Amino acid sequence: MSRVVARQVRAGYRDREVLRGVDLAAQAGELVALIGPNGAGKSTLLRVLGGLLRPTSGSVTIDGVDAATLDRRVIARHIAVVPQVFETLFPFTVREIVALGRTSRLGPLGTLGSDDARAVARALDDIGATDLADRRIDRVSGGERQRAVLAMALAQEAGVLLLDEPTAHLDPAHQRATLERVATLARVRGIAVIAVLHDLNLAAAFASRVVLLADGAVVRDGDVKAVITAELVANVFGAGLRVVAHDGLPFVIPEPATALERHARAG
Amino acid sequence: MRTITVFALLVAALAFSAAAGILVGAVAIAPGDVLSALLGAGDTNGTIIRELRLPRVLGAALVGGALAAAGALLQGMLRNPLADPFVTGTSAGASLGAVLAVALGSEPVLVPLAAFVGATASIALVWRLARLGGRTTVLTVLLAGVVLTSFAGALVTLVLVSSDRLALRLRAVLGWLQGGISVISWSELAVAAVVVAVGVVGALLLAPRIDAYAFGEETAAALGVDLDRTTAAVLATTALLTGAAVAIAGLVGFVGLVIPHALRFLLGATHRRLIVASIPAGAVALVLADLGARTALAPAELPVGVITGLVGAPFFLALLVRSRRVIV
Amino acid sequence: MRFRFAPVLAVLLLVASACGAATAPVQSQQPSPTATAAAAAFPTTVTDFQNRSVTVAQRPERIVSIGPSITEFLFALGAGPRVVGADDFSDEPAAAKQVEKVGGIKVNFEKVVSLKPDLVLSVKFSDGTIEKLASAGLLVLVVDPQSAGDVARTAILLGRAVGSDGNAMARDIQKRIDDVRAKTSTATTKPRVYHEIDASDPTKIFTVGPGSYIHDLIEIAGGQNIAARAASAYPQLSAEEILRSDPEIIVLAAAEYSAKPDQVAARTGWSVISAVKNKRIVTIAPNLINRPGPRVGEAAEAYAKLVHPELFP
Repeated sequence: MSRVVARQVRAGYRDREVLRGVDLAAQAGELVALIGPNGAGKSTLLRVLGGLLRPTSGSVTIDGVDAATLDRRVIARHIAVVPQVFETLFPFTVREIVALGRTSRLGPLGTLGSDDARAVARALDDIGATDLADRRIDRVSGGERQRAVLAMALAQEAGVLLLDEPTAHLDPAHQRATLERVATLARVRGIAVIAVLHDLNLAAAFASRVVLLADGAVVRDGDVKAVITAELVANVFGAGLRVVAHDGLPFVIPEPATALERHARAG
Repeated sequence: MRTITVFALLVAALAFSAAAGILVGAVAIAPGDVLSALLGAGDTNGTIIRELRLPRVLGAALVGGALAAAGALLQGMLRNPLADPFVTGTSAGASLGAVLAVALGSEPVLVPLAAFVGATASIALVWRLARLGGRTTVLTVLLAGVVLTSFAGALVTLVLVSSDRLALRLRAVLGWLQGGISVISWSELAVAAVVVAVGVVGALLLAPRIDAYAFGEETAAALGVDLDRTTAAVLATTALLTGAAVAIAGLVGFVGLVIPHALRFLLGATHRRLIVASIPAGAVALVLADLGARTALAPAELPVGVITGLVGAPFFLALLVRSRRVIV
Repeated sequence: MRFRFAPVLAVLLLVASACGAATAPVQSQQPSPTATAAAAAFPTTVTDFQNRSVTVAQRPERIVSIGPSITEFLFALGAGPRVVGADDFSDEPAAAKQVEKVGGIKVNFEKVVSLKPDLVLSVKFSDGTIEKLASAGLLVLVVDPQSAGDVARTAILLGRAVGSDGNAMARDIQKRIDDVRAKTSTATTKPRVYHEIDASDPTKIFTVGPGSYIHDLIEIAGGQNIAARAASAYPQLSAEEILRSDPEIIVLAAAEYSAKPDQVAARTGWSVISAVKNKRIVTIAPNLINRPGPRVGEAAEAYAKLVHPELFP
């Protein structure tokens, strides 16, 4: 069942159009990796899907309802967006940050109930960040902050999770662990996850589907092996990347400099 | 646990400073007489305590609490620990309203009302100006506030220079502009208290949404906050709180800036807690500042704004140094 | 011979007025007979209120007066026709209103110079106005009567400067004041008086203290100024102090910038004051009490009427 669908979406900012007619759907249980070069429009697409940017044409439906008809609070209950940047000057604790995920579900008095506390505890546990809970968000490392913000999105208990570079500040072990957790959550809880990933190998290892975006349009949308191919990688990302197979999955390795020079001289 | 301790300490401090404020005044009255005055003694001391000192101390507490709550609210929404109710241009509008009222020869009792109207109008204007650029971001609100403050300030000077009537009342207007808890009647106090109460309730209701602004407005929207409506509600609540404060005490600076900033170090950033604690803390600060204003250079009375400025600025610098960050 | 008397007399007057200000201000100003004879002679050297020694070469025919009390004096001394310019506030006597105006709080220098005065009489200015006038080549005398004691001194000084008999005026004024004083000394009561100068800022209420004209008037009128022990001529009081001192009479100037009696009565907490309870909040003409001038006798009588209406029906 498609939890979020973008149809023929055109969108952009004041002076330029970024997305030129994008179709994308994500099903419950999937972890869709959104890959592509810088400037392809990945973050913009995430914003449109999350209802944060209105498309100039086309539509976005969330659980079958047109997003344009929904107000912010309702959208937030169905879609959680984790942004790339999350700096704050204020000394919130990690637990308080995660609790912010409950904002769209607060009653008129705005107090956190037992349901909210449960969701917060569960989110912290899902990400393995329970030990961080009482530390101050402005005093933890970049990676710890990233995990806290991810827990915040999980606390929203939304059916769709949109992640923009969720592992950018994490060490390889944490990168692996986080994506594995997210993929498991997607499967077990029936969440549709769309994650912008720059690391093609992480995408290959954990995504159930890959969407390659370039110049504001979808180049290929499908299974890992169908999208991460030598030809497409070379076309979209340029030379210098080699695709090799390992354990049945494609992996992308950067060519060492001398090999590149050799190829260049060879023409 | 810790929050309760801090709150209890603040309330105790408020009780002590209020007592000090009532015991000390231009006329020396023995504590025993003060007590009987509070209990309704009919002599002159009774009148001095019940009609002059007590409303003044309560007025100071009300103004301090209102300004601190407004400061906490604004700092949260603007995500800037340097924000202050006056950043939104309230002071400019309020002073312009008051100065115009005096220049046009209105009854003295209408002047605070004119200030309140000016405060509210300027907040509405800043809101409109900020929206001209499209999205109402925090930056546009700050810039609009700066623009309005400069413009209204220039108008105030123009009016002051060109009005003959004001030349005679200049002292009164300047005194008010520098901040002072003037003599206040129980009915004026009651009206202000109601307005402040409404503002406080609004602030407390908005507090959880203000927390969601922690990572910026886009994230707040993603978490489910209706940005336009919330910003409008915050500005309106701030207008109520600041307008009431300005109407009673003129321009008193730094309380809205320093109190929430300092409390955040002790209590963390959650705004509901912060606002609840800011109210007694701000009240204590202003009751003590008023006491200082009345006694520092007795028998002359200093404007309260002078005390809050002299104490607030170094305090704020100390806070900045301690946090060792460059806050933009 | 005349030259030597002038500075000595001036010094005597200064010393006498300094001593006399606190208690019986006017009684110690007794001009000497020799000075009377010398009054009409020029050139003459006088010491003005800023201790500047100024020589007036000949009888001034074109006088500019900056200060309403100075203008009153000049007309009272018979020098009215010779006044060619006066400040905006000079409105007494009626004839003064016809005189060319030279500015109010800010003096119009060009106007003053264009009138080609041979003598400029002015109150004190702290913004350099006097220096500016002097540097424009004009002969300037600073005359700034502040208390009742200054009145006689001013009459004599101005008399010398313009060539009129100031001593006679001084004597008349003195007599009138003494008459009032004599009458009020028979009173059985000495009511506490609060004279309000300015309460537009309720946290800074200004009243009169020792060294001010109105304070002198209160004393002459047989009243007791509640601020009699203040340290300055225009001290600041708090509402608390006013309530505590419980004045029996509250005097306001009947000017548009002053508070009105019903406004004063309505002030928070003031209802306990005797003056409010007994409805003894009275007004007096501002021009009479704000200017230590030749009408001081009239002012004393008017004030005494307010304080002791039983003696001045």
